[in-house]
Amino acid sequence: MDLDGTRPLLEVRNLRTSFFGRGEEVRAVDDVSFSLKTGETLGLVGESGCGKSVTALSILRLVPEPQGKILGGEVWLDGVDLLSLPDEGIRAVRGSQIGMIFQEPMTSLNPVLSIGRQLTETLEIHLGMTKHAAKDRAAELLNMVGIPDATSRLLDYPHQLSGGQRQRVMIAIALSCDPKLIIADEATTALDVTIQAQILELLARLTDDLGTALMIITHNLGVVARYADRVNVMYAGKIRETGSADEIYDTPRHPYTVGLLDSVPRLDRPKGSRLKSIEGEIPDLANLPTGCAYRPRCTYAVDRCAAENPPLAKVGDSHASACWEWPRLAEEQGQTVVS
Amino acid sequence: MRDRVTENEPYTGDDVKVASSSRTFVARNFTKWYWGLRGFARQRPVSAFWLAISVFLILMAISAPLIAPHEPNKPDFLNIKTEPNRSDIFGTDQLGRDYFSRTIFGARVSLLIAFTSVALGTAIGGVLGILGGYLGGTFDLISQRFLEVLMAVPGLLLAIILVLSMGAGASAVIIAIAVTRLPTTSRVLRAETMSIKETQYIDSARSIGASPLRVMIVHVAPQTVASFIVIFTASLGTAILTEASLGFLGLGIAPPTATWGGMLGEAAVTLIPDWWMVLFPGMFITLTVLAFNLFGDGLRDVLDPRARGRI
Repeated sequence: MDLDGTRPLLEVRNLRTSFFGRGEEVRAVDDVSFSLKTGETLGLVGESGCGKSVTALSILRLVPEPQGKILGGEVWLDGVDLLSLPDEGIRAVRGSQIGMIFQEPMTSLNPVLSIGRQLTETLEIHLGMTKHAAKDRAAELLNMVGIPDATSRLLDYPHQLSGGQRQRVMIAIALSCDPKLIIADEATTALDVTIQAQILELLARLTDDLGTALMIITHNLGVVARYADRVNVMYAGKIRETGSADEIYDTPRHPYTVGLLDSVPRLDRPKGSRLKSIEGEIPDLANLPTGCAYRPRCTYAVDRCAAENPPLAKVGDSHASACWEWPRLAEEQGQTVVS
Repeated sequence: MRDRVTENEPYTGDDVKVASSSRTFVARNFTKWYWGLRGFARQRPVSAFWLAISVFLILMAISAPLIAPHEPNKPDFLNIKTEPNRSDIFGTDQLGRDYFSRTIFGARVSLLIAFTSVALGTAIGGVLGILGGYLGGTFDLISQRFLEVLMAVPGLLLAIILVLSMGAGASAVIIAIAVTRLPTTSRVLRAETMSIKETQYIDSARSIGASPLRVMIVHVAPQTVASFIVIFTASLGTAILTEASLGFLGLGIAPPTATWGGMLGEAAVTLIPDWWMVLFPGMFITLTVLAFNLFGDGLRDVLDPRARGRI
């Protein structure tokens, strides 16, 4: 049960996914839990290699095998544990209940099939539509994502479309079976800034209209600030801070979140203030330091951080942080907040 | 809920290009073929020439009964081993049969066996390759070890063993040659499948709930068509040679059916064979193998972007 008593649409509990190679275990996702309500937009942020994408792939059980393995946990979607479904069961969920949009619009469409063929594929698999009906629906979907003259565009191949248009097609495919959840994995990263805004605007408007929950995976804090209701900050395979977008931005309670926010230029900062970078680099996921994984880069680190890994602890209404030193951080932040 | 959205004005952003005009399916495909051939002839004029020769040989084989001036299997004991002349432009053999007619009919056997055996062999090899490459695991392991055993035996030797074990005849020859085509095809398509498998559109196909079989048929197989066509044409030459070798050794199609290899074999029985009995079948074998191989080469250069521009 969630804090307000409603059952969440998606609930991930203690998810653990690792990759194995050269005798090492790389813990890409390590004990991750979060939930998502119907119609809500969740942002999953963090640096490259922190486990964001693997979390998304694990939900759909698309982790590349045999190197990657989901070791444990539960993923509940509307009362069904996706991790315990048989192969046919999870295939029925993919595309029909959860739609996924990948990072590279240039490569996520099959170059030798017309976009009409690729749009109707989902409809054929899940809704068993006839060719004719699927074609009509595909045209309707293309129209919905803002591609004009849809009926004739169905015959086009991916190379005849621009990057933005391809991502629109991907959105149309993801939305085609009226899914409950859309996962956008860095969906706009490869596009230029103006198109990024258009695509995100479109995605936000459509999911809002259709009541679809949206999970945005990105390293762009600006995107999250604009579109997400809730934010999970990930670092080295774990969620370090979770809260509403306002809480994360206004009152961050984890040194890593503070570091991320300080490294992005913001209009609501005093003029002339310097951008700070986070010292050091991401730890080797196969050989994590003891205790808190962020400790080597953390300016708030104390002895306790090396001994014990801090759990996610409640720091506000719907706000939790995995840091022993958050009260000290809060105090300092309180002083530096621009009023 | 859906209706509410579709009633909205379609969102038109800057990245939406002006719509292309609608074209009919037939027109699209006809122009596609026309421009494809034209482009091929421009890029690879030599290969295009050999394509024309291949087409000519195939047409010759199909229309053999119309072209051949005499019955290919009808002996004429009054004209045994005559040199090429007006009536028998390629001469006659030891039974007085018209060599020109036999050569033309021989093309039928050679090409028919080459096409069916290569089609059979590359199709099965391709399926094994795609399955092995996509599924990996035990199936891949077992099928690849099996093909490696086949690879270890030289093609002609393998074909001889197979024909001997099945007994001579058209179907035995076809199966024997098909088996020799398995390893190469499956290796190439397996490698290609393994690299296609890592692309994002395969991930995205899986993410919409496509089953492994569907991914292989709809998304992987079409990508391997270029390689498949190249292997197919290149294999035709080898298949014709193998068929001729089997015929020469007397393991091919039973006489009196005319085959190029068989004709060479019959000519070789004499201590010093008559020149026309060796020259004409040999010439046609060489011409056919050359035509298919050089056409296949050009096709590979055009279809495989990585090989383009290489010497």
